[in-house]
Amino acid sequence: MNPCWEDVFHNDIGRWEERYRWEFNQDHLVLKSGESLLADYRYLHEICQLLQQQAAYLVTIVANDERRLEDECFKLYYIFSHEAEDHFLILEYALQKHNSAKNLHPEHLLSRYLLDGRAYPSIRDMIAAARSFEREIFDLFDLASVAVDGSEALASADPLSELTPGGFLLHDPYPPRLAPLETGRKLEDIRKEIERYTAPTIAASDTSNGKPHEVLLSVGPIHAGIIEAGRFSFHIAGETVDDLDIQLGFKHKGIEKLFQTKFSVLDGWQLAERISGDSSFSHSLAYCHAVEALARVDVPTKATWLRGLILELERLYNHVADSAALAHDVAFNLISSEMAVIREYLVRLNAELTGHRLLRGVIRPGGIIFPPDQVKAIDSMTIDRMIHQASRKRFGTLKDLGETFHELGELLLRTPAFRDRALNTGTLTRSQALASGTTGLIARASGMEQRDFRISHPFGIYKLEPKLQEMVDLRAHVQHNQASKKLRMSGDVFSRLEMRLHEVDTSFQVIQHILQTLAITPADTLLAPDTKEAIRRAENFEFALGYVESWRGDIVYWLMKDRFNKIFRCKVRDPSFLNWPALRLAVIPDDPTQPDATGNILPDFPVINKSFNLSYSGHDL
Amino acid sequence: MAKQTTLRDLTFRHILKMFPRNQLHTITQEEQAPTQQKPSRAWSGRSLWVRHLDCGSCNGCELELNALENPVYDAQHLGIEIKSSPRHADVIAMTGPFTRNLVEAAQLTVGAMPVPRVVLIGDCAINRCIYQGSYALAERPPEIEQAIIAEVPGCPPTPQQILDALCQLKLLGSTGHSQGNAPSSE
Repeated sequence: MNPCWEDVFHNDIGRWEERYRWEFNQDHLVLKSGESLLADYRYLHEICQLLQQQAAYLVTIVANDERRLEDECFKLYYIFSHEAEDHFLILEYALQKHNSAKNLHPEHLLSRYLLDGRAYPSIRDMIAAARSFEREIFDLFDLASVAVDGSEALASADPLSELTPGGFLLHDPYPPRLAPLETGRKLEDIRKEIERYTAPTIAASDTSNGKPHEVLLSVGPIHAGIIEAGRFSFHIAGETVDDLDIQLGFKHKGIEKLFQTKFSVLDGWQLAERISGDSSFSHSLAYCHAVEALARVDVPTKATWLRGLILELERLYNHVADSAALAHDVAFNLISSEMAVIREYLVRLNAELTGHRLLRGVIRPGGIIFPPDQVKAIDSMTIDRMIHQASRKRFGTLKDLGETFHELGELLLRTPAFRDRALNTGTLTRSQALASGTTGLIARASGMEQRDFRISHPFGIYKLEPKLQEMVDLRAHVQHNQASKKLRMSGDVFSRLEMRLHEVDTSFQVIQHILQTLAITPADTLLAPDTKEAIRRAENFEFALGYVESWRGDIVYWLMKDRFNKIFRCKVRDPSFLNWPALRLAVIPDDPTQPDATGNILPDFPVINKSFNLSYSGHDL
Repeated sequence: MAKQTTLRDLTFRHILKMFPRNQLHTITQEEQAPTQQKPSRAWSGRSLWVRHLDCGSCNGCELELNALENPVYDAQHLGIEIKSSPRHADVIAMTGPFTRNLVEAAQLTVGAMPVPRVVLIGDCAINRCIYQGSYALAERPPEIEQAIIAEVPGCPPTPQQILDALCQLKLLGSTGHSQGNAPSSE
C-alpha cells in the first residue's frame, strides 16, 4: 500500500482487506471486488464516499465485457487519482447475476438487468463526474446503473428513466439496447441491426417544461461557423441564461469498437491520432504509453526527449490558436490576426520538423520515427532555422516568436474593453470545479493548481527530468511571484485566458530547456528495436494505463490485448469528457434566485465556450 | 448539346490535371468566348461563398478550414468567404465520415441551400478512411450524394490545398461547370 492511499484509507485497511484483494503494478494498485453483489453495493459506496471526502478524483470508468474470460461477467474499473500520489487506484467491480428473486417483479425491466448481471450500483450521487460515464456505459454496453440505498430500493427504482433521455452517444437512429461494444459481435451484424431498425416517429414534444415565460432556444447541432457539431438548448427568461442543456454524441464514430475489431496493438496509434485532430500527438502518445506499459518496452532516452519536445509544440500551437480565437470572439481583430499568424508559423514549424502540420505519423509504440526525407539532426540551431524559414524570415529564433506572442498577450489582458468582457464572465468556482471532477487547464484556471498529470503522475520526459516539473508547477509559480504577477485563477474567462498565456510562456521555457539538452544526430536510435516481440510476450488479458497531460488536460488510455496481439478493449478518455458538464455550470447562474447578478447573458456564451474550447469529437468518440 | 463535364467522380488532383494553373486563365476565356453553343449557366462569379458542415470529423479539417481565414491565407481577398447560413452559400464544405447521428441535420443543411453543391474536405469524407466499417457511419442520402461536385483529399488537407481547390471551383463555376443537381436550364 502506498503512503498516500494509506492515509486515505486511515486504519481501515484491515476492514477493506477482508473483502478486497490488493494488487500492485508499475503505476497503479488494484482493489479487486469480492464475492457477493449486494454486499459489494455497500462497500463500493463506502469506498467512493471516502475517496470523495479525501478529494481523490475520478479519472475514468472502464466497462469491459469479460464474459468469455476467466470471471465470466462484465467488469467495471473505476480509476481514481489523488493529487499527492503517483499511483492510480483502480477499483475493480465484477457485475454478478442477481438471482435472489424475492424483490424482483419478473415483468419489470430492471429485474431483467439484474438477472442478466447487467446492473451495477450508481455512484453518480456522490461523484458527479460519474454521471457521464454511466450514461456512456448504458449506451455502449447496455449496463444499467441503479441508484441504491438498500436492497428494497432495487425493485422499485427505475434506472432507465434517469439514463435514457435522448440517448447519450447513440441517438434516435439506433435501436434501443444495441450494446455495440460487447465482444464477439461483428461490425457487420451491428450495422445490419441498425439498418433494419426504423426509429418510431414521436410527436413533437412539448418543450415548455421550463418556468412560465421561459423561452427555450435550441442551437445546433450545426453551428454558424467552423465548429464541430453539438446541440445547446438555452433556457432564457429575460436576458440571462437560466439553464443550459448540452446534447452531444452527434459525432459518435464507434471508435472504441474500431479499436477492438480492426487494429492490432502495434497499429492502434493510427486511430488514436484521429480521435481529436487538435490533440493528435497527445492522443497517440497516451496510446503508445499504454502499449509500452503493457509490453514493458523501454523507449530510448532521446526519443523520450523528442516526444516531450513535440508534445510541447502541440501545446503551443493550440494555446496560441485558442487565444487568437478568443480575441476574435470579442472582436479584437488586431490581436487575433497577429496571434493567428503566429499560430500558422508554429504549425509550419511542425510540418518542417515532423512532416505533418498537426504532428501526425511520427509516433510509434517504442519511440519516434521520421519520414525518410525529413531532417534527422535536431538541436536548438535547426529548430531556429526552421522557424526562420517558416515565418518567412520574420523571426530569427523560437525565442523571438515567444516574446512577440507574450507582448500580444499582455496587450490583450491590459485592454479595458477585453477586461470588461472577460472578467467575471462564465465563472466556474473552485468548489464547482472540484465537485464536477473538472480537469486540465480549466481546473487550474479555477484554482486547482495541482490538477496536472505532469506533476501528480509524471510521464516520459517529466519523469526523467524533475527540473521540468518545477517549471510547470503552478504552486511554485504562485509562491515565488510577487502579487503583481500572480495569476487570477478565479475560474472566469479572463482567468482561463491568463492561464493559457501562462502555459505558453512555461511551454517556451520547457522547449528551451529541452533544446539545451537535446541534440539528435542521424545516428541515434529513436525506436526500441523489439517492440513487436515484447508485445507478443506480454500477458494476454492484462490491462495497462497510458496517460499524458495534453494541452487540454489529461488523456487516459486503458488497454487490454487478446491472445492474437489484437486490441481486446481500448477505453479512451479525453479531458473534454469530464469538462463538458463544467461548461454548463460556468454558464448558469450560481444563485438561481438572483440570475441577473450571478448569471451570464446569451452573447456571453460564445466567449465562454471558446475559453473552454472543448473537443466534441474527443467526447463523442 | 455536348455532354457537360461533371466532376462528380473526379478528385481534386484530377481537376488540377485537367486545368493546370497556368492554363486555367486561357481555358476560362475560351469557355467564355461566344460560341455557337448556348453557354451553360454560371453559378459563381468572382466570389465563392462557403458554408462548413461537420459530419463527424476529428476536427483536424476544421482547424485547417479555420486557418483559411487567417491573414496568411486570407481567403477573403480571393472572394472566398465562410458564411454562417447554408441559404447564403454557393457550396458546402463537408468534413467527416458522415455519422448516423448527423444524418438528419446534414440533410436539412444541404436542403436549405438554394442549389445544393457539396465539396468533400478530407480523406474521411471521401472514403471514410480509417473509420471504414464502423457501425456508427451511415450512407450519404442520395440528395447529398448527387450534390457532390468536388473532393479535396488529405488528412487533413493543408489550407493551401483547400484554397487552391476552392479557387479552381470558383473558376469552374463561373464557366458553368459542376452544376451540382441544379435544375437544368434547358
